[in-house]
Amino acid sequence: MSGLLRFCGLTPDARIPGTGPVGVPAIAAPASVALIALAFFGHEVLRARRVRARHRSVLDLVGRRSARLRATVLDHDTPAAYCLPGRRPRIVVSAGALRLLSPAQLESVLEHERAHIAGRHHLALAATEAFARAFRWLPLAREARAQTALLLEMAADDRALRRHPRQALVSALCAMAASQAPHAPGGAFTVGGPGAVVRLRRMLDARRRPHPALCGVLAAVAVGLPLLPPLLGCTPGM
Amino acid sequence: MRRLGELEAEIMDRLWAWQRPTTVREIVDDINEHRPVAYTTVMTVASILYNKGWLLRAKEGRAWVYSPVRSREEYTAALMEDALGTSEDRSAALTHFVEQMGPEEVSALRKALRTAGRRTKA
Repeated sequence: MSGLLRFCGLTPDARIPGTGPVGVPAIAAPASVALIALAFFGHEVLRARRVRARHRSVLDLVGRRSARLRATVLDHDTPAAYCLPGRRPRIVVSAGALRLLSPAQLESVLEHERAHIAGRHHLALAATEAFARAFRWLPLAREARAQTALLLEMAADDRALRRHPRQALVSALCAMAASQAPHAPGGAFTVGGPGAVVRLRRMLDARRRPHPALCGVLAAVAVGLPLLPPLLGCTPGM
Repeated sequence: MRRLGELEAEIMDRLWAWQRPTTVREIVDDINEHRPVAYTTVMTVASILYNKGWLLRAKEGRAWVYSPVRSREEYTAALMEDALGTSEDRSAALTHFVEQMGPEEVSALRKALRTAGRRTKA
C-alpha cells in the first residue's frame, strides 16, 4: 500500500497537490474503515476459537475417539457430522450417523469435513461474520455471510468428490438431510436448508471442470480489473 | 507421556459407568489393572475436574468421594444442540455437514435426486 502511494507521488507527509488539508482525512477515512473491519475480524476469530475450545473440552471427555475413522464418535441418535476447525481440530460423527450411513457414504462425509479443516474454512467464515457484524445495516454483508458458507460447503464437496464416488456423497447428503428434518424443533429451521438442494444439483450436474490454467487466468482478471483504473490514473505522465 | 485430557476422560468414564460416589483409591486401582498410574496424579486430576465443574465431591471419613455433576447423556445432548445450531449461541464456529431443513426442502432434495437418477438411466 505504501509502495503504491509512493508510486503515485504520495508519501505520508506529502499533501496531494492542490487539495491542501483535505489530504489527511482523505487517507484517514478509508484507513479507519479498514482498521474497524480488521478489529471485528480479530474479535470474531477469538470469539469463534473460544466457542470451539469450550465445545472441544466437553467433547474430549464425552466422545469416543475412533482411530479407524480418525474422528470422535458422539453417542447420540440424531445423525450429524461436523468439524471443529482450528489448531486442535476434531471431526465428530454421531452414533446415529454411523448407523444411517454405509461405509462408503461415511468416508465421503468424513472427507468433506477434513476438507473444511485442511482448507482453513473457518477463517473465511470468521471474515464474513466480522463483515456482517461490522456493517450490519448492509444487506450485502448478510448475503456475503450466507453465500460464503455455501461456497465453502461446495469447496469441501469438491474435495471429497476427488477421492470418493459422487453417488456416495450425494446419497449421504440426502440421507442426512432427510433424517434430520423430524428432529428440528417447532418448525424453527435454520437458514441454509436450500443450500443442500443447490449443492446436490451442482454435484449431479457436474460437467468436466475447466482447465486449471483457465481458472487461474479468470481469477487474475477478476482481481486485476478493479485495480486497473487507480493504476492507470496514478501512472506519471498520463 | 499421556496427555492430561486422556486421564480426565478415563476418570469420567469410570464415574459415569459406576454411577455411585467413588474414592480416588477405587479409580486408581481400576486404572492400575491396565497400566500404572500414581495415586497423587489421579488425585490432582480429580480435583482439577472438580474445579472445572465436572465433579461434585463430599467428605466420607478421611477421603473425598467424587461423583459427576451431570450424566454423559446430558453433556452429549448439549453438544448436539450446539453442533446442530439449535442452541442459543449459534455461531459460525462449527460447520455442519448439512444444516437442518424443512420438509419442503427435503422433498425438493428427493425430487432433484430422482430427476438425476432418471437422467443417468436414460
